[in-house]
Amino acid sequence: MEVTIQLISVLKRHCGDPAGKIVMTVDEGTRIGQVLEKIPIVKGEAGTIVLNSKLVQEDAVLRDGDVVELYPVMGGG
Amino acid sequence: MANGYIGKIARINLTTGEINIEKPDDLFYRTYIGGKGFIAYYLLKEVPADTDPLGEHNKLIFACGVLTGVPAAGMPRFAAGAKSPLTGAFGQSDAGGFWGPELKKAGYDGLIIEGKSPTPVYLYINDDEIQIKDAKKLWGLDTGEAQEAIRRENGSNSIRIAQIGIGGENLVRYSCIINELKHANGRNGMGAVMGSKKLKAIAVKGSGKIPFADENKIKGISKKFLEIYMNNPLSRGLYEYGTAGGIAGQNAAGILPTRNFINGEFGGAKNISGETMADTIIKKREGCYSCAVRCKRAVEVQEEGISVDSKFGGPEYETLAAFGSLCEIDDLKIIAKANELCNRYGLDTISTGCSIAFAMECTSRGILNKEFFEGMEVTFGNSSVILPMIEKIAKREGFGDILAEGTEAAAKKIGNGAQDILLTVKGQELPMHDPRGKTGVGIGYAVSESGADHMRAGHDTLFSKEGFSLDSVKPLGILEPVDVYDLSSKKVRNFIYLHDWWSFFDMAGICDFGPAPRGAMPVNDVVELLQAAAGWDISLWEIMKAGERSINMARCFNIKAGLKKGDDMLPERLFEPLKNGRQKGTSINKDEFARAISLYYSMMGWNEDGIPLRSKLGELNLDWVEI
Repeated sequence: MEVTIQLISVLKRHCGDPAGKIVMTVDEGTRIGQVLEKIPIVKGEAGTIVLNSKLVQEDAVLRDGDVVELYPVMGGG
Repeated sequence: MANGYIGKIARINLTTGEINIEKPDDLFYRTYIGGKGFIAYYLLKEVPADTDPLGEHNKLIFACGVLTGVPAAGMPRFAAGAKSPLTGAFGQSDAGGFWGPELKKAGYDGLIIEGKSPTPVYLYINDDEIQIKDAKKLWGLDTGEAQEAIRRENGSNSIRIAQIGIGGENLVRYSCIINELKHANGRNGMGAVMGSKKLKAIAVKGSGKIPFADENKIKGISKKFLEIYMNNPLSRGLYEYGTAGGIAGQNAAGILPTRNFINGEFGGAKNISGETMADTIIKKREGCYSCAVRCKRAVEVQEEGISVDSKFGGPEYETLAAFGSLCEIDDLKIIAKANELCNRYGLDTISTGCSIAFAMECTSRGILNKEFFEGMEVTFGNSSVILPMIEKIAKREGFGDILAEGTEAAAKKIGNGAQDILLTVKGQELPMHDPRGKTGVGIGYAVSESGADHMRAGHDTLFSKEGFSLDSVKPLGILEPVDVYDLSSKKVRNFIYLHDWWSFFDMAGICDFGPAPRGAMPVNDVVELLQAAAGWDISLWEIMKAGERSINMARCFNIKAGLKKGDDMLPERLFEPLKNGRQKGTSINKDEFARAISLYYSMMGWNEDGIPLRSKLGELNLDWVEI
């Protein structure tokens, strides 16, 4: 099945597309955490994860056509 | 004398004109370190807790730390402190830039400003020579004009100037001290204290060299930082987009303070984001003394009525949210102009934005009307009122005179239910982080000695999952993820350790964006940097104890000033659910939060009323403190 990963802001540097979009083929039952391992981001760098407009954690299971937005971790300041 | 310090503190009495140089001993320096530690020491020793913050007997202390001016990233800072006119409590606010290192190069670790001048003056510190100079012609000038005049009068464009604007002159209770026109000791109203003393500016020119015990070691640590910092996501983010890069993530997470903390999501967030700023009004990246992170932004707007001069820097995250989402304004140029005006007039952008949002909510609830605002439509989303309101606050004109007192005093005067919508802790307006989505920040807001402050400790989001930022604080004993909503002993313990660590930053002159967890410098490198700078065989344990000492000292000052347990509480709105966004319905359980505060007291070695036990004070070598 196919999912779309949308990297936001500084996370875009991990992707060849300047728009930060990655379309990926994954197996049924794949979790977001497993997808994160396929992208060269630093562990813990994706702070806020939005799946089809809802806040989720890395254990969320993906379905065909899902769109995952990854926002950089924010620490105050 | 330990290295890292100069060994001199100048005491300047503006009533008598006397200037004395004091030379504290080694034990003083190692015990209190600098910054927040020095401020707490002098306030406890010399300022009666019932002193009028804007009276002659309050003292304004400028304090560098042992690492201020170390040639490494994130070491530019100094603290300004006094009894705060906004909170009536321990007042302390730090700034970066170049002024702190310059003061040390001129030959001083700190300044104690006493008394009150009968007429406006400024200090000119040129190495050993300290002059109290006439500032009658500077009084009333904006900061840009005053900086130019002082540099011209003293014949040098390299003079570093910390000063107040008309906000401080007019005793706006959240006026700031600003150096280089853009680096602010923003919070707690230190500008008003300076204004009450009729002190317009402190201009410094230093030609000396700060002594360090092991310069090669410092170079090595600094070089290592340069090799790793762009691989650290947080440092990289600060370099790429500055703190403004946080707008998008906060909004996506549903905790971007919006409509005076009623909402957590702002429809116009994209328009005020760091990314949009980078694509539109940014002129260049800027930074502080010796720092490669370069998290500051200078912006420029060339439009009639809202032209923005880049010499005043650019809006950071707090400013973008305070004038933006909090007021439901998505016009980046207006916000940039608001930032510039605040820097010209010397106003804290957080409290100024919050005061305007408070006024807007007063209108929406019918607490105040158009007549009160002299015909202005002070409503959420109306960008046309932002700039005129800043003018009125800074000049204390009309309703601006009421808002200049801070929202807590303003609400008391306004009545009619205005106190029910306050968003303050100890009288200070909340920064732009919603504790409903990160409860540790709420603990920090509540127990902070200086009122609501977002820089008391690293935020929960950094430690809620496995990864680089949790790894970075393992040397502090923070070893496992803790949920952002958690209020158990795990969260309280994490907060305490991080608070000690960050309080040490405030003592030593360290920027929160240099070391872990918010920056790339590992915890152990900070320890080694301190050893190399001072020549001490100091350990992380002693560092954490120093931080804890400063927290207890500030706490003791507040107890003497009459603050009580009830002052360590969040505003009611945070116990109510967020009304929109991805965390709609989320609130903090008030009973659970109160239990966390009680737990915090007992973990700190304080009694049930939040008063440090004598045994705790003894353990911290603070037997001399009487409460």
